[in-house]
Amino acid sequence: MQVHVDASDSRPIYVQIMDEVRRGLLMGTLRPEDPLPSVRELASGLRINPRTVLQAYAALEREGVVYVRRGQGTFVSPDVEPDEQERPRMALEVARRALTEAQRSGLALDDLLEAFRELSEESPESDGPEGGKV
Amino acid sequence: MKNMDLHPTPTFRAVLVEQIRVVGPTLKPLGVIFGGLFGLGTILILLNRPPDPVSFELNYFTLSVMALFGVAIPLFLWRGEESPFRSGFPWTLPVEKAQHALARVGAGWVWLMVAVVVFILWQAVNTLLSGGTLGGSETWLLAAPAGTVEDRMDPATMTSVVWSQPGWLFLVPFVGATGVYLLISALFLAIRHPGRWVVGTLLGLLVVTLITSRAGFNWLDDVAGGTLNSLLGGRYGLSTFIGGGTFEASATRLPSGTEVLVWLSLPTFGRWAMAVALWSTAAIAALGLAVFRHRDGRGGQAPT
Amino acid sequence: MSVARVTPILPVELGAGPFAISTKGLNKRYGSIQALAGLDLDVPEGGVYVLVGPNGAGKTTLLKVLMNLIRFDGGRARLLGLDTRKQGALVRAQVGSVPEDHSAGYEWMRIGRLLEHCSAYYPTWDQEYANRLAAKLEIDLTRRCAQLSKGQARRVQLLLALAHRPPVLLMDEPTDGLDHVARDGMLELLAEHLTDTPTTALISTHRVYEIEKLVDHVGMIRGGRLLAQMPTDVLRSRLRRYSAALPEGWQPNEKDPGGTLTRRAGLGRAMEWTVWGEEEKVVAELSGAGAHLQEITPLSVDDAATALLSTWET
Repeated sequence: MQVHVDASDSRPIYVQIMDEVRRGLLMGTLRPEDPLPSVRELASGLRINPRTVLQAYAALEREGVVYVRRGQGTFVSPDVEPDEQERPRMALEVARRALTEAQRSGLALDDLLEAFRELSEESPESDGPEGGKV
Repeated sequence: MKNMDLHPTPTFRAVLVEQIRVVGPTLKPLGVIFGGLFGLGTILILLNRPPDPVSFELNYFTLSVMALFGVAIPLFLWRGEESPFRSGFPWTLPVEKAQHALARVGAGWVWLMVAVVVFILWQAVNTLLSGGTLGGSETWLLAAPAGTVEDRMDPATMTSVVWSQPGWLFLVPFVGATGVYLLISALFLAIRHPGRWVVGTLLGLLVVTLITSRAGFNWLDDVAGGTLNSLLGGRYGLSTFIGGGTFEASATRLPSGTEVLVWLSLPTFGRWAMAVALWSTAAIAALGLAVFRHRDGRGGQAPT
Repeated sequence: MSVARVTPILPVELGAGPFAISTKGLNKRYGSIQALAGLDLDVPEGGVYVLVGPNGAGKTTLLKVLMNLIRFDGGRARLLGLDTRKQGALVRAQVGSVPEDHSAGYEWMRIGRLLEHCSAYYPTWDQEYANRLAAKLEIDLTRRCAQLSKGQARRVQLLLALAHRPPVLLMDEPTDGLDHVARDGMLELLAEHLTDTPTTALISTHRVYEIEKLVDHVGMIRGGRLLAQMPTDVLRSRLRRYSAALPEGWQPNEKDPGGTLTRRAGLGRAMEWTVWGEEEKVVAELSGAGAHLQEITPLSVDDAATALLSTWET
């Protein structure tokens, strides 16, 4: 799974890393007990300050998403349940971004909701890896 | 707390050794020039076997050449970016600047001694190749005490002396070259553009001499002559320091018409030792002052 | 387009430290030019601090002063607690520097020999690391220093700076002369180096966008004086772009929120303010003035520094 961060994104970089980890969990590319890239790998790969990576991993650890195995690195928690925790959180984040974008174009929340209803009627197959309707 | 984790600076010894290794290649052009000249000289000797065998002497010529090494080396050491007046790479290294400059002077000196040894060996080789012998004694003509050497002299005023090179004379090239080397190094370290100063001073002297000579007043002889003469040619002057006393001969013509070398006085260890004491003190002091000028933190050149 | 206001008071205090680099009232004059005018700069230990400012602002002078390559007229400078003036050689032993010019070593010397030369001067030299760096930076060890291009010389300077794993890195326009690929390679190397070796870095550049992701502190310098220095987190949280739609009858110049640096009009009634201040207050001010707030975005460190530097009146 490729991690991408963007300096011009409105989220701080460590938040972007955390979101990328969550994305991986939701998409199934990251599963419980999977190792996360080492601080060195991620920092050099993304050309970012290693402290930022540490900050992201520490925050994820506090949330219980990952844990540290001494001498071996950081791993995804065995008891993380992406669907229950991450799915709603991620959905909220995406929705928030969509709303901001909508407001930039002069649209309101109701306009968006209406648009989503239209979309769900258009293509009933547009759902996540678990399947099911929106 | 912090001091435990600080990275150390290199030892002076390590710096000196590395400078010796670096100065060698820096002096390569000089080595090539002199090596070429020496090689040429040897070839000429081989080709034209001279009627009289060439014998190795520590005299006016050979000692001056070796002293000149002491002038040439600083010229190559301190040019371009390696000048302490420029903000070159060496001064960014973790060594105190004055110490670093001193290490470079020391490294140059090591190679100077090598050059002197090589020169002496070359002379010995030439001597043997041309069929001469090393050592041995000669007959010298000595002028009467307190006399001077004039263009024409009567043999009656001279005495014959048998002379063989004393052992201490072999120290002279090493010490002389060292002294000259330290003085010229001091010059290069003290003055940003020594070439300009030397040329400027000579031109200035020339102008002053021209003006005063028109006025009928030869200041060079009257005023400066005395000091300059004793400094250079006096009892403990520069010529004694470099030459060990072997410069004290002049050519004169005998009534019979032959030209001979006549000595004013014979080289003595005591006189040379005294000259060494005076000149080495001066050289070391000059170098010390010049190096002191470059201690860490000095430098106010304009921003690029 | 932009309207300069009363410049907001920007932070210069970075707290109690510990600071790897600290200057107080640093002064340096070259003839009639005051290169440094009472500079108070601090770099926290382990921080990656970018120093931004226009040409001639004093950035290069500062780095030279820290290495004790030039003398300063007043004030004091400390590096890892050492007085830079009294302990110049020891200070330089703690520093890996990439200087402004592109000279490395001696003209006639081969790079491989140059590495050996430096290893004699830095007892902490890691030859294995130096070799790996040479391979990564694609440095030809058989070339002579005089035969290097600008970019190659830069890479050699970077190698020399990193190979003895110094606790402090001082870099003056480190990416200057490097092509795009080489720049990226350098950033990758730096990120790795920062992970492996506890380092404090002070990077002077006016190309902030390249190293933005590595940096956690920013200092803005102009006319030899520090305008502001702060963690990049603070910069992000305090400096924002506010996009809004203006109501009818909007009077310009009257209702700009306090701390406005620039105001820029968009299409029709769109207006964008760049404001230094607490987001809540600014939002309240703008809404109170009748603007319909649409978007609030933080600025990149690069844009932020540009905005702050350009609106500062000397």
